[in-house]
Amino acid sequence: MNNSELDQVLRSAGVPDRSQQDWDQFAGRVLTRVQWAKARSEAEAGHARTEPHPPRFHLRFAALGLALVAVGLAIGFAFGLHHGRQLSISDSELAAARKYFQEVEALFPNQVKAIILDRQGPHLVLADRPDMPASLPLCLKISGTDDARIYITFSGQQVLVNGETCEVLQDHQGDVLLVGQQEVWSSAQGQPTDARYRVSARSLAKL
Amino acid sequence: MVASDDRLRTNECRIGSQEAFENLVREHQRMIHSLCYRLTGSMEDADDLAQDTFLQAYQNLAGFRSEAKISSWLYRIAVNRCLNWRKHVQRQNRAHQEWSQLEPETPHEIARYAGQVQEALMRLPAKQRAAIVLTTYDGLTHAEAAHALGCSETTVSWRLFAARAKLKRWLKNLPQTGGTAV
Repeated sequence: MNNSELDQVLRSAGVPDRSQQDWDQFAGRVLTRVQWAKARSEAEAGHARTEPHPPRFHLRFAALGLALVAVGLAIGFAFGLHHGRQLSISDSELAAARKYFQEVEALFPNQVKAIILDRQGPHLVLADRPDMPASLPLCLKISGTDDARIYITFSGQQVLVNGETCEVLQDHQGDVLLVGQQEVWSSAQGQPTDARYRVSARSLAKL
Repeated sequence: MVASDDRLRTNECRIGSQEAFENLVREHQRMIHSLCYRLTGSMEDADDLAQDTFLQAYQNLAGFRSEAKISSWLYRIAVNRCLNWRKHVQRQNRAHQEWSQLEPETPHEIARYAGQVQEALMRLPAKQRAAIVLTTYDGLTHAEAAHALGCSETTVSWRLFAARAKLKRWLKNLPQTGGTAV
C-alpha cells in the first residue's frame, strides 16, 4: 500500500452524520454557553463588589436574555406566536417545548427556573446555583391583546404577565393556577370573559 | 482578501454582534466537529469539544491575529483542546455502533468499515493522529498543520511518516473504497 492508496482508504471512511436539527441547534448551544459564561463572569464580578445578601423570593433570578435564534424549535415557537390567537397548546408544541426544555436543562442542570418564548426569541431565567428541586415542568401559553408568550416553568415560580408579577402554582390534582394581584386564573375553571389575557397550561409530563 | 474579511467578521464579533458570531459558528461547525471526531473517536466528545472550541474562540477574539485565517485559528484551538482530551474508551467503542443504530439507512458494512479506520486512527499517538487528520482529511499543508499543532514542519513530516507506516500495516486488509467521506 502506497501513500496514495492509504489516503484513499482513510478518506473513504466517513464521519457519522448528524441530523439537520442537530446542526441547526449547534450554534444555539454555543451561543447559550457564551451568554452563560458572560453572565457568570459578570455575576462573579458583581459578587466581588457587593456584600452577599439572602435570596429574595420574588425576583432573585439570574436573568439571562438569551437570544437563541438559531434553535429550530424556538423558531417554531416564534412562528406559532406570530400567528397569534390560537390559544390552546398543541401536542406538537408541547413535544417541542419538552425537547427544548431538556436541551436547556442538559446545559444548566437544576438551574432552569423558566424559559420564556416570545416574538423576540427565547429567554432563559436561571437560578444562581444548581439547587432547583427536581419537579415536572409546566407549559403555559399566555395571549395578551397583541402578543403571546410561552412559559416553560415550574410550580412556585413567578412570571411577568402584562407587567404584573404572577405566581404559577399547580395543585395536587394537576390543575394550574396563575395568581396575580389583580387576577387569578385556574385551568380548572377556564377563562373569565373579561380577562385581560388568555391562558392555557399543560404539564410537560403529559404527552 | 480572505484575511481582510475575517478581520471584519471578528471585529463584528468583538463589538458584540451575536449574529456575526453565530454565522461564524455555522460556517465552521461541521469542519470543527469532524476534526474533533477524527481526533477523539467519540461523537459525544466531539460535540463537547467543538462547543468548547467556539466558546474559547469567542473568549479570545482579542487574540485573533488579523493576518491569519479564522479557520486556521479555529483549527489550532480545536487541536489543542483535543490533544488535552482524555480518552473515554467506552464512548469510542460505542460511537460506530450508535451510528449504525441511529442511521438505519446507513449500510452496516460502511459503518463497520469507517469504524475500523477510526479505530486505527485511535491507536496512533495523539500528535501523530492530529497530523494525519489535519493533512489527509482537512487538506492542510505541512506548514498549516505545523501552525495548528504548534510545531515545526519537520516535526509534522516525521509524525506523518511514522503514522502512515503504522496505518498501512493496520489497514492493509481493508478494501480501498468502503464508504463516503464527510
